[in-house]
Amino acid sequence: MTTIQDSRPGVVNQAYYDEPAVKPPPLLAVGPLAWVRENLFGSVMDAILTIVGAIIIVGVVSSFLAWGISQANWLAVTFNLRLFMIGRINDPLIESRIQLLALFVMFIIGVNLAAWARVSLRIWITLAVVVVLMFVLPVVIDALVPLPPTYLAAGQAEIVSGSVTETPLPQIGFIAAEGETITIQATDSTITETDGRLARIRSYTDRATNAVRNAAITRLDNQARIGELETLLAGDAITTRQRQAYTDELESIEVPPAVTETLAINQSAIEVRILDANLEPLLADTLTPDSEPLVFTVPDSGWYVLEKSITGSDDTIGLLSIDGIYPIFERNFLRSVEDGPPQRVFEYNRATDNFLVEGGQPRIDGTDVATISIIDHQYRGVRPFSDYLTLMLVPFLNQIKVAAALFLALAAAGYYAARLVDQRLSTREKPHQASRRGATWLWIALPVVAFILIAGVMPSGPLRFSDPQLWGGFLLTMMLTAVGIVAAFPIGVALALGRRSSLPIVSTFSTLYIEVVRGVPLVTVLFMSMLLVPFVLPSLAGPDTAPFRAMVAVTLFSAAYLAENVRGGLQSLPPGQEEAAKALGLAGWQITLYITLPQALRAVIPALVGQFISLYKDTSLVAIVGLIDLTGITKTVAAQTEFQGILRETYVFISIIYFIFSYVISIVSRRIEASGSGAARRI
Amino acid sequence: MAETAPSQTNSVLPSVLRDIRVLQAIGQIVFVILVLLIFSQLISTASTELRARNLTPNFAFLDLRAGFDISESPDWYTSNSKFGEAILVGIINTLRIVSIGLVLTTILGVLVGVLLLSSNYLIRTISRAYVELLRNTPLLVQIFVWYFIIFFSLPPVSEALTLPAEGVFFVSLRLPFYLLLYLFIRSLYLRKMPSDSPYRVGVQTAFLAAVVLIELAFYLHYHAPGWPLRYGSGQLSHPGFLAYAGLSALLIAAAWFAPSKWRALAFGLTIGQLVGGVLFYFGVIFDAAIRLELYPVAFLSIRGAAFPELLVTTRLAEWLAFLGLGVVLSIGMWVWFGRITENTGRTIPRELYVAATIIGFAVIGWLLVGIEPLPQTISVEQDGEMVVIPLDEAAAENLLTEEDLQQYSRTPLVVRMPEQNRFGRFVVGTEISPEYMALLLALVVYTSAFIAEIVRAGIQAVPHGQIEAARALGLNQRQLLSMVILPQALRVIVPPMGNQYLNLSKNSSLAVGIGFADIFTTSTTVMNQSGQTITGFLIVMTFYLTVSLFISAVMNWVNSRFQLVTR
Repeated sequence: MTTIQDSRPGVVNQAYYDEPAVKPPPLLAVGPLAWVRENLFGSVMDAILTIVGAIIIVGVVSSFLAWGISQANWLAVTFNLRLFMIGRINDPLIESRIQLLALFVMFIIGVNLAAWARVSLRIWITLAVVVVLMFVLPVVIDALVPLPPTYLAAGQAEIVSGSVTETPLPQIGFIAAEGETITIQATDSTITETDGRLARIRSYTDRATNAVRNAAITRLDNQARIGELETLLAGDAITTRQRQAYTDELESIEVPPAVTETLAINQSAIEVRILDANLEPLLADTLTPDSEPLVFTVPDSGWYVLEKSITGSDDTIGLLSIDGIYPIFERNFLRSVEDGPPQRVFEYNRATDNFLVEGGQPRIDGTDVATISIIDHQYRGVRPFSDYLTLMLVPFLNQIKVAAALFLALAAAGYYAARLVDQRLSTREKPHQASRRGATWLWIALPVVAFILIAGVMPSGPLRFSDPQLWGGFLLTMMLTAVGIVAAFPIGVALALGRRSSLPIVSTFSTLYIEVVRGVPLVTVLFMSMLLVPFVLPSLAGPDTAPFRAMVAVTLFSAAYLAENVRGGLQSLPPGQEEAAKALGLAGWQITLYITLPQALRAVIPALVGQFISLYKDTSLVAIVGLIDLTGITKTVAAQTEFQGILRETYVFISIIYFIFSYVISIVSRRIEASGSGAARRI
Repeated sequence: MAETAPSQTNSVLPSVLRDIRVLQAIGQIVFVILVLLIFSQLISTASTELRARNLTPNFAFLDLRAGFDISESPDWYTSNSKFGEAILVGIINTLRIVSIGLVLTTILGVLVGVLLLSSNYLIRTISRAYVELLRNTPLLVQIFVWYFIIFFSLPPVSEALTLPAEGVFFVSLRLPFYLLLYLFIRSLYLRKMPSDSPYRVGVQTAFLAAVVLIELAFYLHYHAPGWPLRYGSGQLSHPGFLAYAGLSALLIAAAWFAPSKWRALAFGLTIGQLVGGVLFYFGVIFDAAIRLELYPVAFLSIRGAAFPELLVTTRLAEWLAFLGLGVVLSIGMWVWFGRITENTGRTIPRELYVAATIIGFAVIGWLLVGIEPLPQTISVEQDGEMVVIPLDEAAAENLLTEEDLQQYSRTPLVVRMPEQNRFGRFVVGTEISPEYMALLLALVVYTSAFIAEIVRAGIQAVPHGQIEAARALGLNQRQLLSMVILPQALRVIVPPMGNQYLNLSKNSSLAVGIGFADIFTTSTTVMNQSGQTITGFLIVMTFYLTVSLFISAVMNWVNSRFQLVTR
């Protein structure tokens, strides 16, 4: 402490403390703790809000994850990806044409990113890591997490569960790939000893096993409910009405005898045989819970039949636990071929790994052997996380990984190609001139290329026509959006000019059109186009032209909104521009074409992006008039026998697709707008 | 002259054709002819097609029998009603959705918009996620999710979710006692002390600690069977009690060593809980509770929601007349007090007086209309035959019909609780269909995301200097909001808000996706049944244009009130 003495009268001497030069700030003033205090617990109200918000987040996220991991049937998405992306197109050639188009679009996106924006290397690396993970994760999961066994029952016993009576199947057909091993064993007491253990069976099971499981669950549930009701009735914390209801319920509940007592499970030996597709026996064994498992190495890819039987009384069943046999999706559809009528194709797809066999279902005495179809062999029980990984995540990643890698590669190729072109050809003053010119040409080429690749231009050959009725999914959504912008563009510009025209009739007509269309919902325009266009243009009648009629509606609708956007751009021009052009002696059309329109269009690009996004969402309305766009396809999936009534998974999936696309576009356009570069510069 | 000559001689066209006005007129005529040509071509094709199907457009079909039922319709609509009436039902349903939707979405949107500007990071992030998620997915998908996923997974009507949940609740009588005791203590001792005096803090803390401990002890007494310290046992030698008392004494002693800032708090806590414990253990505090049986009022199931029904009785008119008197009086007061303030500068809390007048008239009127005597007995149907019994008895046994209730009730409005019949259908109660709720919720939630962004942008558009200046002038928070921020923010908010209202009204047509009987759905059914497609669309378009014009007109009026008045 230093004290400076001042001896003058009337001066109070002050003490000056030598503070250390650098004093550590209080713990709560810097670092993460300070951040938390400032941003989350600033005041009492703030703290309450934080706690409420945290509870909401944890509640929503955890319940969604719990559903997504243990209950959701994501196979509805995995095995319908093609339907979601391109609809019902069934010509392999047209399908590959569309894949080519998708790659072309990714390339254009890459070029445009280089021309108008900047993508840091970090983003490319992040995306690449994601794609690499798509390839690595399935391998890692397959190596670390075993697939759950499939449970199949054997015997002649009738298993009663509620109103359902099931008998195990004597034979079952399955598909397997060459070199795989199949292990079959009789389940031991860890599965079959008590009802509690039977109720906890969780895996792919046949209907008979499921009946056993359900019977056990019903019994345990009833027991638990009786105990619950007795406690409630013993206390006084129920209303008179509840007491009556609970008493009635207690009287009506019955507890059947234990399943393990009525059915003798795995008390007798199970005879197991494996036959090939022509029903020649390959292997046979007799299995008991204590015996060695039967191991079968598959000689060729294709169909096999598992025959299982049991000798014993009518209340004996055997329960087999099998590794290597998994349920299959059965599909049959018409595949169009180049010449001649379409062929009916039977496809069998294994649920666990997409292994595919075409046709050749084994038959006995002229009838098909029952197959291990996914309809009868669903996953039952609450799925643990390990089963989610192997049964849901791995097949999905396997489906999308190649496409994701190709898309990323093409986008990166476009990006770096454009950069290279700029380095070689652009001048220092205009560093992006070459790539921007190229990007513009690519955009102009895209609609032509897209039309040729999607619709086709020849009756036969590699560019043969495709059937518009089969277009659907994301493809149709994007087609409607693109047509709605591209085809509406000239009409919209004409309407905008017309509305500003000094000719009263033209401007009245344009105003009337714009205001009427903007005043009615898109659904009205869509329905009108669906119902009235056939009267006005008989060539657009018939179901195969429905997509075109929807396009007409979307175009007419979008043109009105586009006109308003363009008008906004025209109005934003300073009047000096037009006056200067007049002073130069330009004619009216020259002023519009060379002076006002180019500047106005450049100014409205952000608004056009906004319109693109809202049109992209609005095209979902075509689902109401029966088209199978991304939204409409959910109904198709929910009508499939394997995925009867499944809506949550598909809605979550399409919502994610809609969201990602529109969010990414809006963010990119906001970035470009904020950076003030090129196209979006404000006047 | 020689230089102008060539232009005259070179010109091939007569001078009339070079006049810009003539050229414009010709251009317009050509345009009209072109438009007419295209339209006549289209119309002639269409009319031949329509005539071939015997479907010439006309409005006569509106008078024909509709022949279809509408699930969501007023009582007067049956399948024997006319097409025109079916369309009217649709119009009513659309207006129901749109009017309520506009109000709800404004409230929700403003709330989320304010939350978007919250200083709390978590709240800000949640509301940002809410906005982005809703803005970037199609409304139709959201409607489907609300309807097919959320409302379809509700339980069947027999296991409906209820509010409140049926059950028994015990309300402790100690709670009012505590409140009275605290008020007593406060008026006796604490009122005169400054709020930070240690004595006051200590007494308050002690009171709270005692209450919490007593309630905790009672909870354990009733819900933990093995709990050793029973209510009112009073045994001094009980080892549990001795341990508790010893520990409390130790804690009180420890409180002595607390830092001076916390000492009052520590003493209050430790002593208060000991007092509470002793009162409980020796049975000094009383143990009494009211048993409440709660029965559900509102139901929510896969069939929709059911609420209590408001029944208008014959006495409503008298009560409304009384209320009207109060309103007239209060308007007079408002004007009069306003004039006083203007003339003398004396501020009068006229909101308070006006509210008191209206509420007073409403309450007194409610009581007055009940004075009119009722008949002693009434003939009601009991077990299939008509009997005459006292009115009170009939009311108690729930034998009165709807007409009886309207005729013989003492109040202007009667609330009737929802009642289910044997099949789970509600015979009494206001029902809301799941379609209506799904559509309303989807529209409200979707539009609120856009409104939230508008509100956020509007508030952010107010320059920060305005707020600082207002603070410097000494305005309080309420004045700051109502006199500085809101007027300026609304100027930015109102015009785009009108657009969103228009969008909501147009988007209500997506009802057709889930089959809610709005104007569009009913009109498509009418068009299918009658074949009158063109007229049908004409009606629908006229309706939507009218609604759009109405909303635009209202929003323009509102906008003109908020715009800056400049010279």
